[in-house]
Amino acid sequence: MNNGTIPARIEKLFVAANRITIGFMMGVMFILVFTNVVTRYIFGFSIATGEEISTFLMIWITYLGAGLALREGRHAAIDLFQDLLPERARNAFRAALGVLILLFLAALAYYGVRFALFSWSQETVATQIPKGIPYLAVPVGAIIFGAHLLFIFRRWIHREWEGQLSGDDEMEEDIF
Amino acid sequence: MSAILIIVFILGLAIGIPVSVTMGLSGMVAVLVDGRFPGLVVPQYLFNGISSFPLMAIPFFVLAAEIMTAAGMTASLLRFANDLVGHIRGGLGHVNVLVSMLFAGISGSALADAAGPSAIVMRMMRRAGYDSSYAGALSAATATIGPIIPPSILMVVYAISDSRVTVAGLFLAGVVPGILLGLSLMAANHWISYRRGYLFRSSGTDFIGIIRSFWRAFPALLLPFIIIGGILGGIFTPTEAAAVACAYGLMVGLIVKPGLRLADIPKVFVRSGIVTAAVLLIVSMASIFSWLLTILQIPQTIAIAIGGMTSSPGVIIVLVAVFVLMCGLVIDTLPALIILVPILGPLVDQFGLDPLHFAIMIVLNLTIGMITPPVGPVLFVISTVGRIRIERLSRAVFPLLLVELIILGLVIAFPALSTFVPRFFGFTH
Repeated sequence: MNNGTIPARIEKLFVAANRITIGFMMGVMFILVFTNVVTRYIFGFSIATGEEISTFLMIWITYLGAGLALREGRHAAIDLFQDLLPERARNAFRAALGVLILLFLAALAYYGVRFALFSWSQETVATQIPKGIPYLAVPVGAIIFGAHLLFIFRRWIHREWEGQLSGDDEMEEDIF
Repeated sequence: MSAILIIVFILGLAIGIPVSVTMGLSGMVAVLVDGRFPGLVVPQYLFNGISSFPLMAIPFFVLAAEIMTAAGMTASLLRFANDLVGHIRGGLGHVNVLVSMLFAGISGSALADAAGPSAIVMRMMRRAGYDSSYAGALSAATATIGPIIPPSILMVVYAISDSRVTVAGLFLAGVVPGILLGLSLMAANHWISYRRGYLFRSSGTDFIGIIRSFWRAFPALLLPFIIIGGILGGIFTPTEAAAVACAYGLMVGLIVKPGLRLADIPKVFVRSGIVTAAVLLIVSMASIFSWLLTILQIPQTIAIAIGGMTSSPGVIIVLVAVFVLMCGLVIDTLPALIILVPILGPLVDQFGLDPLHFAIMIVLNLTIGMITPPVGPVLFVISTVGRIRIERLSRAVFPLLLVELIILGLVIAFPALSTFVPRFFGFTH
């Protein structure tokens, strides 16, 4: 990421917003579940909607975090056969794969939005919000996943992953 | 429709599309080409596949391990292991095994262990003069203890895919096989160190020193007992236990033995959110795939084919073990688990097998698959972190792989190894 250019700045902002969102959702999910354990044992009741909302949050985290996971090279794939290709052919091949993944994400976003709209009039069991709201996680996540892939397309082709497995060196110095 | 589903799936895997995307893609193509179901079923199954409260144990176990590491509790485990066994022959190798066993009690994932404590001990071993491929191979092998000693992400998913077993039962059933795995790797390390003349003792400590490092590691050592005890005592569900583990980590890290900086906490939540996304995306995408398998009756067909080969429960379990091992060679562990459990589960009833014994056999089997090439996720992590070529690493891991296969054989041959502990606590499933 060479800083300064406008696309690079947009990308930085986009990644930061995405990270803050899933970190925040993780925090709320944890507080909801832990609060329920505490209130049940100390006060003898638990908040009925807590379980449902935390489950929805988990689904949102999954779909909103998928693009960030892609950046760090966390989606396992079998690279064995493409590695047999010479470098230039492999790059072209991976570019084609990237387009294929984008097409899948576009289709998922399309059917996901239609499914959410289709279910909008029904309400969820505990929270009684339109079912379409949690269902939107899949299409919104697919779009954000696609946006990440577009931002890092060149890096994705060359499999240059970010920030993966960092921080371990610090820990080692702490110990010995 | 079956043909399209299977062909797109295998082709997608072979050309290198991420495993999670491949499952969703093949499901979507099959639905659209077939035309019997509207395209809307795809997002519906992707959503419903992870709309499960029990599944939430996974993000919380991931979060708990991240908190423990950020709070320096993982480091205290490592120091304790080093003080305990570091001074004997091949000492750092033993430290590698022991720290994986201890870390397995706070983490449910082999990859977390491989990228965390195992990778650190690997670097320590190399600096001490161990052959780099042996250091990497041992770190990969010890990481497989993670999903066997509770808690375990694989076991949570297994219990959700198959109602014949419970998470609590599986957790207990993993204790003895997990310890056996660790002891056998220590024996292998001793033998290899002896043959190759590895001495490299790390500086020893006295009895007081051991007590002191035990005391520092004590909060982390206590955690598995809180998790398991809470679940067994009916105090909380596995999901709640995992959330309690996070709260415990925060409390210890912030108040009891401050090691956690407040500023680090948001980072910890973001990191575990990203790891969660990668794991649960597989579970989500696999649900459309396995739904299609089910309506196409593919599991039943395969189960009948396997079941028809013999009438002996002993033979069937060996057949299943070989079949699962083959699958584990080419498919990643978690997708393999989600695809195979519905296929193989019915055999338990048909042959009157013990469901816990059967489940541990499959989990152990697939976990060993994480260090077998060509598709061995733990090997990939170690190879990346340690910059060791995957071919060299695969060769070096071979003797340790054999040791793990022997343990698998023992677990298959003696059901009591996995069923005794859960039975003792009254769990038959």
